[in-house]
Parts: sequence; C-alpha cells; structure tokens
Amino acid sequence: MSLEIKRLAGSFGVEVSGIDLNGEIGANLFRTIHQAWLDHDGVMVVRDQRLTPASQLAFASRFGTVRTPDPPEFGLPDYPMVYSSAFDVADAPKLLDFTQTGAAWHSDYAYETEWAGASLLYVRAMPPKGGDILFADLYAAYDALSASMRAFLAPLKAVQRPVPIRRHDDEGDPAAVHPMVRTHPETGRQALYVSPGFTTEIVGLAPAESEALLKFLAAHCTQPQFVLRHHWVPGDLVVWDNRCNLHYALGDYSGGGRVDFQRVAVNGG
Amino acid sequence: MTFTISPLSGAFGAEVRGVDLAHGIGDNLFQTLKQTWLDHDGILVVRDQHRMTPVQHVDLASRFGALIDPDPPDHRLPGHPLVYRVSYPVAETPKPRDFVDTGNAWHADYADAGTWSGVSILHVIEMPPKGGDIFFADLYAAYDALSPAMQQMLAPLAAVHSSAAHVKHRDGKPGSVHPIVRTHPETGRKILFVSPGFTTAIVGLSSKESHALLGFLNDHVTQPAFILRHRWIAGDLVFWDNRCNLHNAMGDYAGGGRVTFHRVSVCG
Repeated sequence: MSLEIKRLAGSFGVEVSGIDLNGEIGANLFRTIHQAWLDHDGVMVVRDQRLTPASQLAFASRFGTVRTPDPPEFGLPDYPMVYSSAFDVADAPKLLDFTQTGAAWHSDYAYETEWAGASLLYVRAMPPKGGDILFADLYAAYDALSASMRAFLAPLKAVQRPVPIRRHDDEGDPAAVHPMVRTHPETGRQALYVSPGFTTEIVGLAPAESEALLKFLAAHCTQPQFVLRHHWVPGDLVVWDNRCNLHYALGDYSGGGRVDFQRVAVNGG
Repeated sequence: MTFTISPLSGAFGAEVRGVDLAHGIGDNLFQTLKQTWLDHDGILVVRDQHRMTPVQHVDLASRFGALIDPDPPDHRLPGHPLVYRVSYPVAETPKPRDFVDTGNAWHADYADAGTWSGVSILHVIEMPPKGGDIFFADLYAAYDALSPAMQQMLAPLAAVHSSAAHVKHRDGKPGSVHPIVRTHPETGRKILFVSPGFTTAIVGLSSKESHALLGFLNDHVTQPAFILRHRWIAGDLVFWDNRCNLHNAMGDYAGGGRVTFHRVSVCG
C-alpha cells in the first residue's frame, strides 16, 4: 500500500489514497498529509477508509481540539463528540434542506465565538444519486478582490447566526461577531470569513448597505472558478477547513438506499 | 406683489412667488434668492417669469459665475450662444424622445465632460398640456443617510461619469472621473456624487465589485425620501445645482402644443 497524493481540481483540493487511518500514523506521515491539506487550501479526500468512531476521533484530534456537535443530540451515545446521521432515502424524495443536510453555503460553527478549523466527514453509505458536496475556496475569493475592495472590507465585522437550522425561538440562539477578513493561524494567508447561509448583517453599516455588500460577497465567493464539487464514494473521509473554505452539502439524494455519515469538528485556534 | 418663499418638499427645494426678475434685480434680492437656493439644497422655483428675455436670463446666470458653452452646439439659441434651447411640437400621443431633448436619465449636467457645473437655470417658455415633469434628487441627504462606516469606505473612491450610453455624439469619449464624496464649495457640506444615468464604474474596483456598489448607491440616491417631482408651468424659472442634485426629466409630453425651454449653466 503506497501513499498517493494528487490534486482534486484545477485550483484547490487534494486526494489521498493508499493509507489506512485505522492503523498507526506516525508523526512524519501525519505531517505530510496535514501539509498537503494546508497547501491545497484545506480540502482533502482520503479514499477507501473503514473508520470506527474511535479511529475517526483519534485522527481528528491531531488537527486540533475536538468540539461538541451542534445540535448535541446528534452525537453518538458512546462518542458524544461524533455527529452521526443515518436515514433512508426514498426513490424520488424532496430536496432536503439545511436542517438535514447542510444545503446552504457555510462554514461550520461560524455562529459560535470559537471558530472551527478542520471538519472530518466520513461517509459509510450514500444513495446511488445525489448528495454531492461543494467547496468554495475563500483564499482565492479574497485574492480575487481588488485592492480597494480589500481595503474596504479590512475593518469590517459581520454577525453570523445559525439562520437556516434554528428550530426554536431566536431567544437563546447563538450569534457571533467575526472579522470579515481573517488570517489563517497555520498558513498566515488571509481569507474571507463570510458564510452566506449564516451572515445576517455587517456591523456598523445601514441595512441596505449591508445587504448590498453581503449579496455581492456571496455571489463573488461562489463563482465557478472558486468552487469544486465532490461526489461521495462510501469509504471517503473528507477533511475541510472552516477557516478558509465554505461548503454546501446537497440534499438531492434519489434512487433509494441510505445516507450514513459521521462528522467530527475541531476548533480553529 | 408679496415676496413669498415656501418649501417644495420634506427634504429640499423652495418655491418663490412675488418677484419679477425681468429687469435685473438689486444685490440684496439677488443674495436672498441665492441664499434661499443654497439653503434648500440647490432647488429653487421662481414662478411667473413670463417676461424674462434671453439677455436677462444670461445676465442673471452670470451673477452666479462663469458660464458654460452649451453642448451640443446645434442646440444653442441663435444670437444667444450661451443659451441652450429645446423647442419642438408635441403630438397628441408622441413616441418617447431621446436623452438629448429630454434628459430622461438621472444625471448632473456636464458631469461627463470634465467640468463640474454649478447652477443650471431653466426658463420654461411653453409647455404642452400633459407630461414633461422633472425629478430632482438631493445628494446632500443621500450622503447624510449613509452610515459613518460607509461614508468612510467611500471617502477615497472615485467614479467615471460618461453619457455615452445616452448621447450618441459623446460615444467613444472616455468620460470624466470625479470623487464619489465631494464637498460643496459654497456650503461646505458633503455630497454623494453618483448618478444612475452617468456613473459607469468605480475606479480601482473590479467590474463586478463596481456594479454591486454602484447598484446600491444608485438605488440609495434615488429613493423616495430624497427626490422631488416638479411639474413645469410656463413662466417657471427653475434653478438647480449640479454639484448637489441630480435631475431626470420625464419627456413624456402629450396632448399637442409645443415644449420650449431655455437653459443657462454656470461652471462649478
């Protein structure tokens, strides 16, 4: 079994194969994989894994401090830090929304004060069609802004709320204020930190001003040249970086079968 | 004849009655009119000036500053080359006319031509029974309504103003660059200087960034609270200030008759 690392898409993303994450992963091997993940703007697909919740947790911990799933009820009884979701899919179901599948452009936990770093999602089962996940590269999106626009955004902060997934009242819902441009603590690069799905307003701007700027940024970050799409193969472990990408999990499953995945997320540092 | 000044709208503009400007006016009255015009954010309507001649019109305008040669040249009034004249018959239900004759896009006069113009004084000589209203927008109010954060963000930016989209003879000409935030030389107040009709791009931004920001700014300056609508009546002498207003003339004249007006513009 030899390690293979190759690009996923033209501009970002990396695919790793020939490794068994259940086994012993020495410091050098981990460093190689971790660096490949950072170098390819934080999207990595590791193929052909047979993970257990324990081994997924162990691997995730090497990226940072593991954090509680949101909502916590989705944590596994024996492994509360592992978010697990499994359900059957009808032959021709309705398009599932964000409450079940993350179908909105977002960065995990952006509505919390402590931002998230890596999210590691392991897929055990997927229906025959649908369920692809998309990633948007926020380093590239930031770099593509004009110098004037970057100067414009530099002092701004935005409010992020879990808008599409709150099933109860606004009271008690988390909301966090984060700078709109953030520096990645491991690469030193700057990226836009705006989740179209969660960002409700820019601090200090009038509502119409905020709306116009957010609308522009949402369209800007998700242009085709910044986006890659991944089709799940059962056994895939995908690691993304909530500090420099957005993701969008499509809920367009069809053809029967079952969805079964587990996710562990760590703090951003 | 009682001299009265009354406001035209909640935001800006004043109407003056009871003066006759046809024989020249003393300095005191001129200063009163000018100050009223400045205080009402650049819009002044003086009613019933039927007897004003082109010579008097030019004299009055000269008291504000140096005059601008009208463009296009074929619209200059014969014998009075500093007067821009529009005159044509109106059908019962006419087809829409172009920008040169109707100004039907939000703009400030001559913003595309390098000079920043100041007052424009328009004398209405005849109007058809229907249509032809003009809108004005208050660019002081538009600036004041921006959040301080947005005001700061716009402060270093400049935009290109070009009428090429509306005016064939200016096709191919590059337009001129103006700061987005300007200070009025006579009032010292700040102005948001963008116009849906003329502002084509923000310097230094990508075309999508520019389009997004201009989209917001254009909607912002022309929102209901910042605009007023004026119905022309023959005899009106209307003053507007191309430094702090935009205007947009409907050109939807109907019902026969004729539209004739004379305009003199002053440098900014």
